[in-house]
Formats: sequence, structure tokens, C-alpha cells
Amino acid sequence: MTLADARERLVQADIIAPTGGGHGFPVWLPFGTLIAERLEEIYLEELAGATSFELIRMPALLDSAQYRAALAARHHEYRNMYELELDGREALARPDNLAPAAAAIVSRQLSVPLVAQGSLYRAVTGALRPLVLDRHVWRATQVVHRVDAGEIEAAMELHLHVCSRLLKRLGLPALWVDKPALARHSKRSVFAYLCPSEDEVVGGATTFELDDALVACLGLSGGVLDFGFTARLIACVAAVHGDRSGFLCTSSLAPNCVVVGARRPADRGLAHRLAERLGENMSRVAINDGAWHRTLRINRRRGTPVLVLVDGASASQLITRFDDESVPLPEDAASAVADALARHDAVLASRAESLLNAAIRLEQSVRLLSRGASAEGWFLNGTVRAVGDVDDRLKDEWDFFARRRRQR
Amino acid sequence: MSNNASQSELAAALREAGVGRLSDSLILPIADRGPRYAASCRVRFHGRYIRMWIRVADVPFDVLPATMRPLTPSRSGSFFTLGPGFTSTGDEHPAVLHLQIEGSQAEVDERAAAVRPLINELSEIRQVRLSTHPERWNRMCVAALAQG
Repeated sequence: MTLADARERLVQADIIAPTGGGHGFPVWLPFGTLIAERLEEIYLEELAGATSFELIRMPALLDSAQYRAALAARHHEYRNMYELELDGREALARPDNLAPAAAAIVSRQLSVPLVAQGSLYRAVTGALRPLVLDRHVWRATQVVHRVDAGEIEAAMELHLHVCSRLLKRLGLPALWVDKPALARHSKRSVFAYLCPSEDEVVGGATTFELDDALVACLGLSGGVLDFGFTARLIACVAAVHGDRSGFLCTSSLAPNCVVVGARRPADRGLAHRLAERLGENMSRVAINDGAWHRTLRINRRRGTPVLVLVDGASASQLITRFDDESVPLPEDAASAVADALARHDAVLASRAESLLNAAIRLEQSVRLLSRGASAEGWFLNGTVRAVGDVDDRLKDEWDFFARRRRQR
Repeated sequence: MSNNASQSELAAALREAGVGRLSDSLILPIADRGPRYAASCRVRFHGRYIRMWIRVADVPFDVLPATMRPLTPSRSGSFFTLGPGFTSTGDEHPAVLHLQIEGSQAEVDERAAAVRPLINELSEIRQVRLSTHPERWNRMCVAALAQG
């Protein structure tokens, strides 16, 4: 499924409203906001496991003149930003966090990564993609990390490692590409490319080492890394894992990885007790004791990994979303549910890897990018690299890809 | 929830009370069938000036697109958005709450009572009730400022 097709899955799963607030302004529905927040939580968990950091709330409006001055070192087009007239002053609805993050680093003398999460407002030229190049990116995570010049390599490795852990927990294997300098912006960058389908490659996360002139213009010194991703990753998850029944995601991303339902009203007490028991061993276990057929329908299209149907009159059932299989719930329910979740994640990871490998083998999407036909305007003109704890099979595919490129 | 509760605590408490969170946007295009806020401002975009809705702690508003069957009994529920916006005096504020409750009169009353203790903790509360017919469909809009 391509990223454009994924929009249908997101609507089907109650993640975004069928129509938004106007061109490029999607409306995220309650279930969608839970998923987007979960995405941010996973990232912060992984970052916290790797290093200490500061989470800062950035102002929603940036003074236009100050913003232009801070980024004067780079060529930039401001026409795609929203400039508000407020009581005689002009302010930009925050197009990115780089300038305010640099100001915060200077004023607070920060040497740890600074993390900003929230909305960004800007139009991106090129073909619009769902939740990707929207004018209002409701949830974006941007990390700005200033280090001494000699520590830049280690900092780059750290952020790539954290990103690879995030993508792994989303079940999204990536093709990591070292890319050359971007004039007046970055000395180098590393892109994590994702394959929503065999013939489509899209950027999933970016890490830039900023150009010295831009660093100086921002009032900083040393090396500066700028890492970011947006809720477009959720569209990638929908495209890679979604099926005819709807959305599908790993147990890490699911707001509820287990939902317990009751066959009849008389079974509700049993269902609550089982949910409590399961909750002692795992997080994000929910109870839904409404009509079972509705619970099943909603959770199937929202991609809840495991459902448990409590039936006091006969055998309770364990239902796995990835294969729609229903089996009697074993006596040791906690172990059975944990096993089912592990199988669910393993199957999703394996399917996604196969998709990425097929895309690399076909090279169709890569050729498209080489010709510059990508709607996003990204060019795969870098060097493929290994990041994080990739397994040997995936590494073999990358080596194969790199050899083919060298032969040309 | 204390008076100094953070945005995330307020969001969690509202969700606990059965209110669904929607995405918030500082600005919105003025569209026939899109969501709307109580105020608008002039915005320059792609070299020309347009008017856009601007998120302000005032009523009335509609946080859902009009394509989602408004003014009908089938659109029943309670939703909130929480994020940056402006106070009624035009100052920027990091945590403007928009709470919208829809349904029959009884449904709206019941849901409003469930969230009232949470709302009473906030400042600059403004509210309005709209109705096509009290027994059939009502919308209650509450705007307030939460702890930044």
C-alpha cells in the first residue's frame, strides 16, 4: 500500500477525520491523538534510555524579524510560512524549532539534547501526501543537540541509535543513507528511508549536522545536530502493516495492546477481574464491557493486537489481530497473552522486512528517486549505512544494494 | 487535579471523564465546512493576505468539521482540544482549552456535570449553549485557560 492509500486506513481506524479543517489541516480524532502521543512517548523512552535530555515547550509564535535573522545564513523561502499580523507586529506560526531551540541552548547553557514536541505550520512544495507534507503538522518531534566539535560523531551515532530503536518498536525497518552537504544548511545528513510499498521510498526521519555558518548565525558554537520526525510515521505504519480490516501496529504503538471484552452482561465481572490480573503483568490492558460485536468491530479496525473474549458459560477466547485467529484462552492467561503479543510483533517485523527487501531488490523506487521523479524531491544520492542492531539478513540486503550502486 | 495541574494532567483527567481529545491548531483556514474559532486574523501566506481563524479562549467554536453530521442527534459526544492560543485580550497563552459537548439536553447536562469540577479549576472560563431544538440537539462550548 502506498502512503497516499494509507489515508483511507487512517480514516477507517478513526485516527483522522474524513475531512479536515481545510487544505493541509487534518483533524486528528480521539483515537488518533492517543496513537500520536504514544509515538512521542516511545521516542522519549528510548532517548531516556540512551542519554539525559531537556524537554522544552516552544512558543507557538516566533517574531518574524528575529526568525529571519537567526536563519539568515541559509537560503530559505518564507512564502510557505504563515505570517500573522497581530496588533501591528508580525509573527510566524512556528515553522520549525531550530531558532528558538538555539536561543534556549544559549540562554540555559545546555549541553544535553533539547527536545521540542508540538505543532509546526508550513506548506512544503511538491505533491502533498497524507499526514506527511500537511500545512499543519500536528505532532512533530525535533531534537537540537549542541556538542563540542570532537564529540559530533558520537552524538550522531547516539541519535541514529535512538531513532533505529524507535523505528524497530514501530516495526518499520529503514534504509539508512548518509547524504552529502546541503548548501548553507548542513555539512552532512543521515536519512532513514522507509518503504510503504515495493515501489515507494519515503523519508521517515532526518538527522542533520548543521553547517558552521548556520551554527554561528544561530549564536552557537561547536557542532550542532538537528534530528526530527513527525506523525507521518503513523501513516507509514498504516501503509506497511495495514490490511483490509484496517489499521495494524505493533504492541508498542497500540494505545491498548490488549482489550478484554465480555460475551454477555453477566460476564462483565469476570472480564474486569481478568483485565486486572493481566494488568499486573503488562501495561495498557483495557476493558470494554459493551456489546461484544461492537468491541470486536472497533478494535479490529483500530488494530488492537490482542482481544480476549470472556465467556463464563463456555471457553473464553484469545483473538489475535494479525491473523484473525481465535483460540480458547489457556488457564495461564497472562503467559498466553504475552506470547500472542510477542508473535504479533515478530510477524509484523518480518512482513515489513520482506517489504523493504523486495523494494531494494526491485530497485524500482530507487531508480525513480535517482531520476529525480520523487514527489518529495529527495534524492537517494548517498551511501547506505548500517545503524543500530540490524540483523544479518537486512545487512546483506543493504550490502547487495550498495554493490549494485557501485557497479553503475 | 490541583490548581497547578499541567496540560498533560488536565488532558488525562478529561480523558478519564470520557472526553475525547482532538488535535489543536493555532490557525485554521476559513472553510465552509471546516472547524471554526471565535476570532480571525490577517495572515500572509504565499505572498498574499488571507483571513484565517485564530485559536482564542472565547466562544462559540466548533472543533469538528461540519461534514461530521452536525446539528443532528447522530453527532453526540464530548471533545476537547488543548494547546497554544490567545487570551481574550490578545496575549499568547500556551494552554487554551476548547471543550465541546453535543447531544440531547439530558446528555449534554450529564456530560457537563461530569467535567464541571475540572473546568472550575481553570481561569477565564467562557461558555455558550447552542441548540436546534433542546430535546434533539445541543452544543455546549467552553473555553478556558489551563496552567501553561
